[in-house]
Amino acid sequence: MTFLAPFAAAIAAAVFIPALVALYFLKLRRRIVEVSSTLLWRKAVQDMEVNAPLQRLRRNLLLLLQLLILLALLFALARPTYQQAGKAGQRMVILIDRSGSMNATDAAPTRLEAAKLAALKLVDDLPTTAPGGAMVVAFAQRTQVVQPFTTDAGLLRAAIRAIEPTDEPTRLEPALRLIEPVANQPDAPPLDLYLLSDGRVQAGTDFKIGNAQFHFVRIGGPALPTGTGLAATPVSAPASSASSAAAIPAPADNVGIVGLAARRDFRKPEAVQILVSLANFGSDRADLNLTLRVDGSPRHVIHTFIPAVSSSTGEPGTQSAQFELDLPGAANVEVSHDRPDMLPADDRAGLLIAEPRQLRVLLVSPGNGFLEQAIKAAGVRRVVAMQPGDYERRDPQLLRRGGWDPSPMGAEGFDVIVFDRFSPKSRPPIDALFFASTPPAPGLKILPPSSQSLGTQPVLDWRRDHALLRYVEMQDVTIESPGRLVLPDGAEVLATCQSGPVMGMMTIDNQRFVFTSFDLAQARTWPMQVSFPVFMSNTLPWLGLGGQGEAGRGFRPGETAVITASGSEVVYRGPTSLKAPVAQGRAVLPPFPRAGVYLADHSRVAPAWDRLPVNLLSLEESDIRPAPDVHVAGQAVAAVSAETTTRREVWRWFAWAALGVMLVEWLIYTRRMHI
Amino acid sequence: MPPTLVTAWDATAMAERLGAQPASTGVASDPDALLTGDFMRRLDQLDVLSRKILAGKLKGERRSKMRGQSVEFADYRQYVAGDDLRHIDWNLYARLDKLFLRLFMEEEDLALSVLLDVSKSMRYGQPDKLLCGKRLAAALAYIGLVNYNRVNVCAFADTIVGHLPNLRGRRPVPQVFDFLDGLQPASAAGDLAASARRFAMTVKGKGIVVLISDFLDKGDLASALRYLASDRYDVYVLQILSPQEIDPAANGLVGDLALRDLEDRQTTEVSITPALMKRYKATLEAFCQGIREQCMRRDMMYMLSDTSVPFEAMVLRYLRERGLLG
Repeated sequence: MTFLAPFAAAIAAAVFIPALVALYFLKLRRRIVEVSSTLLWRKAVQDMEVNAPLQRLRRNLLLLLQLLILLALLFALARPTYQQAGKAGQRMVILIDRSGSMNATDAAPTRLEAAKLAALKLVDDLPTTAPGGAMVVAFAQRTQVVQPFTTDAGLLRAAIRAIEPTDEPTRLEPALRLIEPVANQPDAPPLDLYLLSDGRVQAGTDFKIGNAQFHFVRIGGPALPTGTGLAATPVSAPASSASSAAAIPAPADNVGIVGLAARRDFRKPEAVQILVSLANFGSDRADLNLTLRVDGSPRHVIHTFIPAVSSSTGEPGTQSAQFELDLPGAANVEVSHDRPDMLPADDRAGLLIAEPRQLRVLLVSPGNGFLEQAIKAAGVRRVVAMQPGDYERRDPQLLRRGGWDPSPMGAEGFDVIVFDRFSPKSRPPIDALFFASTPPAPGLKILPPSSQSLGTQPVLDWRRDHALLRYVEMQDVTIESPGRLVLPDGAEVLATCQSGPVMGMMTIDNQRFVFTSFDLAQARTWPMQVSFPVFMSNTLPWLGLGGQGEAGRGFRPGETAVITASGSEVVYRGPTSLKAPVAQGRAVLPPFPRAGVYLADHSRVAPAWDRLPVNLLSLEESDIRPAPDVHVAGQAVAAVSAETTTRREVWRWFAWAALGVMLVEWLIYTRRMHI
Repeated sequence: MPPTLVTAWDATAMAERLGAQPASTGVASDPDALLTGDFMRRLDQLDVLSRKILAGKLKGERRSKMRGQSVEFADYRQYVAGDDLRHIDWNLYARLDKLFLRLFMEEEDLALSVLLDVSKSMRYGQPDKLLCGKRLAAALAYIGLVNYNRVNVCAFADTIVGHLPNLRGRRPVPQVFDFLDGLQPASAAGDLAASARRFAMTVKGKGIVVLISDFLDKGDLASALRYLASDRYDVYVLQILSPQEIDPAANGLVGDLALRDLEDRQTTEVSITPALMKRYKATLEAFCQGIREQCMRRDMMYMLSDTSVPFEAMVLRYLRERGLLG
């Protein structure tokens, strides 16, 4: 219990308690009454004092009661508060994290279920007279308002209970953006924001919470000390980098597969390399067996270990494993480990290994022999060089399907088009790589280098975790006066120089385009470095084969898939059931909510699309260590447990107690005075 | 001398002369009136009785231990030289040839002394204890006077503050009433012992002593009664208390009080609680019981009365039951 106004109570106590005691010791102002004689009275009083040795104590009982009353009133004046499970302000927004990490089982049965229970408690304490009521928002990668503002507790409870778990990554910012207008609504009652999460969330810094009070109710992890309240670490406390760096989350017992890739050997296409990345978030070294299954049959077992979490930096222990096997045709591979932990979703991951296929690449360039050689070096089956003018005269659809040229060579279509310093007038129907050019898309263009960006510039940052730039080291890459990419919404920046983005990608109508603001001549030494052929080897299969690896295809929770299918509807069954209508031979599936394998009727979908592996493969979601705080709008909000979410003032209790004791004191007094 | 009966006419006339109320309820109309005519007529039928046969000074209407000259024959005795020849029974001499002297009963008067406490404490109460005492004294004096007893009326506080000595017959009745009517509470604190001592020194004769007081005297009661504990006196002790003294709380004495003594002005602080009231009543009872025991030890008749008791009942019933009146 803490006090909101202890100094006022202390001052009042310093004044009133001595005053009361002094008053008690002062002589009572008695009414003077004349009697015939005080002879009998004196004897009676003397007898009383002689016969009742506790008389003084009995007389002082009233003083004690009065002191008790005064103390109770002083307590009430000090505004005592206590942490209470759940309390509603006048308006309340409950944000429930349902990302992959919330499926950890450290809070039985899962963190999400514990979060729902905590949310139900908050609803239980919601005053029915609250003007705005409460709103329930569930979020992961996508944000969903499961219940708009209402004071109907039944609706709120039903909405909370209906929240389903997902394995999607966590994105808090869209949820905050959603409620930002509510939080900043002028002349509205105060708003309490309750984030029920394990804290593995990220939120932007430009979010304004207005007069809202942000509460981070941490779900899972070790118990938080009682009394850790919002008042102790208010939302207004600026986030300290030192303190956040020092706040290493407690280890959590989870070993997860955080990366999975398959690659066919260019020279020996049936040879497949499967790379597995593992991470350990526990405090002990994890020894485990890693099993590779091909079409459900175990093929290899590797015993390996993963070091524990670094006690100094808090970095999880990581380990890599590699399988090599011959797969002449398509196959489903699955990697799993046998160590039980708190998050089963990341214990296995699968890929669909496509048939060995060598790419057919069209190079549209005014002339770049070096690039043509580089494409050939990437292991493609065929490279056709074409002048830009010639390209513009061709039917793009024929370039995709084949028949673009009467010669036998033109009977086959292309998998990838590489545009060198040429931007086509219309959007190519094939995935394409652009050097110093961009596909025609609104908002996408290359600004010429400004005066500040003239000269050689190093690549400052690049997306090491992206499939295109995996194993691509660009720290020694310098670019001569690069242009600056202007990217529309939905585009991703892959590499940045001092002048701005120089490499990016975007998806338009399920076609992927990778583009740079520089050509190879500007890139100076990059084509001579190892990283360039690696980049080409990453990019051309990624574009041509439509997967994240050269040979394997898998999906992440929250991603969608475009399926070539027949009929009017396609249904996938797996962890959840997914349906999508088929239009023009294609069906766009809704985002995958859970990790696992989704199966469809193979007669309705194209071969190799009847089995879709969806893998968690997320270092952030596998990291189930609960965060000690979250940073929202540039502020650190300390975590409180679900049991200590709010602070309730209890001065009324003391006031009532004072009244009760006063009643007792009055009864004792009147009983004593009643003749 | 045969006893003289006061007729109803006489009493009424006297009451009118005294300005007393002719009401039949004693003191109904004027609360300050001492006696009413009707009540005085009823008192005419009473006489003061003594448990002792006490020698009087004058011839009276009361049989004496002495042989005297009344008409009532008492005894014979042989003649001895020197006896009064007029008392020789000559008829007996004729029959027995011996001289016998006829003896007659001697009749004496009775001394009745009424001592009335007029200390300040007597002023207390509702009804007033002093008024009640005055009425008692008036009634007793009236009875004594109409029965030709020798009546002394004394008012005392710290000493004898007023004294009507040796009254006899109906004539001094107005004097007695005026005396009693004019008595005011003394300014000094009461001193019963000094007053009793003074009384014993002043009134030498034998007789009935009626002591009317509340006995709320901080002095030594035993020493006071010792002065009256003599063979000369047949002492009746009448203690009068007011309802406010018997049950203070029921009569409005509540709260935290500073009780001031009417006589010595001393103050006692009390908080009226049930426990204190219980203790007070026990103290009062012990106090009254102590007076009773002191009186019994000295062969005195004790009677406690409450001023709320109707005056008629007090005189006509209680005093008769105690044997003072008959």
